[in-house]
Amino acid sequence: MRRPTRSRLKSTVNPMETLAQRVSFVTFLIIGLALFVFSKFNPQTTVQVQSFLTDAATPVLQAVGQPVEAGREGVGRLGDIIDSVNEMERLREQNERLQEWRLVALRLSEENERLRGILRVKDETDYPFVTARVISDPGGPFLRAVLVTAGRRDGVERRQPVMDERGLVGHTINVGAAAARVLLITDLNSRVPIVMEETGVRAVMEGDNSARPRIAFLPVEARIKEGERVLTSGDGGLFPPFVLIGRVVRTENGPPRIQPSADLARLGYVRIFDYSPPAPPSAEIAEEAPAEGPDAGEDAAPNGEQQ
Amino acid sequence: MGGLLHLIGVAIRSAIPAVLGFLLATLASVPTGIEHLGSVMPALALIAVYYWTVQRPDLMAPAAAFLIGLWKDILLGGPLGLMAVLLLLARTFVVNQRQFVAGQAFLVGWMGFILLSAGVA
Repeated sequence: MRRPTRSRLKSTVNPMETLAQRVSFVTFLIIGLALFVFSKFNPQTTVQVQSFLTDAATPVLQAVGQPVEAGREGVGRLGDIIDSVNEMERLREQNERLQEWRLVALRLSEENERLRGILRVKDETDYPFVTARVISDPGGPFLRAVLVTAGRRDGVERRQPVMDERGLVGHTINVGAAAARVLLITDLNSRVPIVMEETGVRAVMEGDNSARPRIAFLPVEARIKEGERVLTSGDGGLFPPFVLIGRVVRTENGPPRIQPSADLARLGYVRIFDYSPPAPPSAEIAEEAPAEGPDAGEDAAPNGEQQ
Repeated sequence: MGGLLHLIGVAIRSAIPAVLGFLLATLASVPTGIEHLGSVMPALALIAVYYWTVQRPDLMAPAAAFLIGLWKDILLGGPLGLMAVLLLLARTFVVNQRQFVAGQAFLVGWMGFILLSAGVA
């Protein structure tokens, strides 16, 4: 410390300075509260402002993230080296098993294709997408959302589903020109209509800011299996049907939850899908239910199932 | 000439607390790829605000605390003004309690920070 303690203490008892600080404290407190209240009551404007700010934050995050990115590879490598012997053994075994499965899969896929051809099933799983890099951690105490490096100029829009290579990640909530914010499925505000793969039970996955979302609106008589896979049901139209979300897991005390397949704790690259639900059969219905109008207000506190 | 250089030096040194605050706020949001770090990641911005308010409240002005908080809001995408107000309140709280921590042992400083972060959370 350059200055002796006494002069430091003295500098703060200067009455003029404290007065100035009081005034500036009150001013900023008012500004902050005003901002807070404004963003609560004008969600529409807030979304636009945040889209703009998203773009502002992106270059800074990318610059600061650069060295971390380098270190990240190192950390990953170190872990790999330590565990490499076990890992190799495991992979060898897995490889043998997978070789067998590959043959089965090839045969099934061939058969599937042939049957689809006969029945003329429309392929519903192929949507155009863009791949983007994740440049922020879902760190905050109140929000599980990340920034990704794709925006309007890449064709990304609001309310598009986002996945990584393993499963559903979330959906876009605000989109800037070159960056977008993705609300993760674990966020308090995330609701995803789901269907269980084996038992066929439909429910809603409800984020609560923990790593494992809850299962809500489970029918009373429904029996779900531990470990069974959870897929999107496609209800509500925000997410395409039959996208893998995760598995049902038992919890210590309390109802089962969903363990997401996507590596939400350390997302690297994600795919943003250009998905729009199949249009309702009659044009009249489509007009009566405007896609953006009434629910746009809720979008600052984004909501998975709108309809 | 020497006077000017001195002034510039003082200006740079005076800006350090605020700049560090911004840097730490940003750093906390950078993806590290380390699993579960998010849940144990300390509130770096709060640490900066707390430390500098205790050491040099004149250099961690209300404006600086507020702007650091606002930047944090922008990064996190939460409601604008939330972290800004929290950090501002934290700063004011620390200034008022400063006599108990300033010039005290390292440990006492940390006790103060624990109290403060419990309050903020």
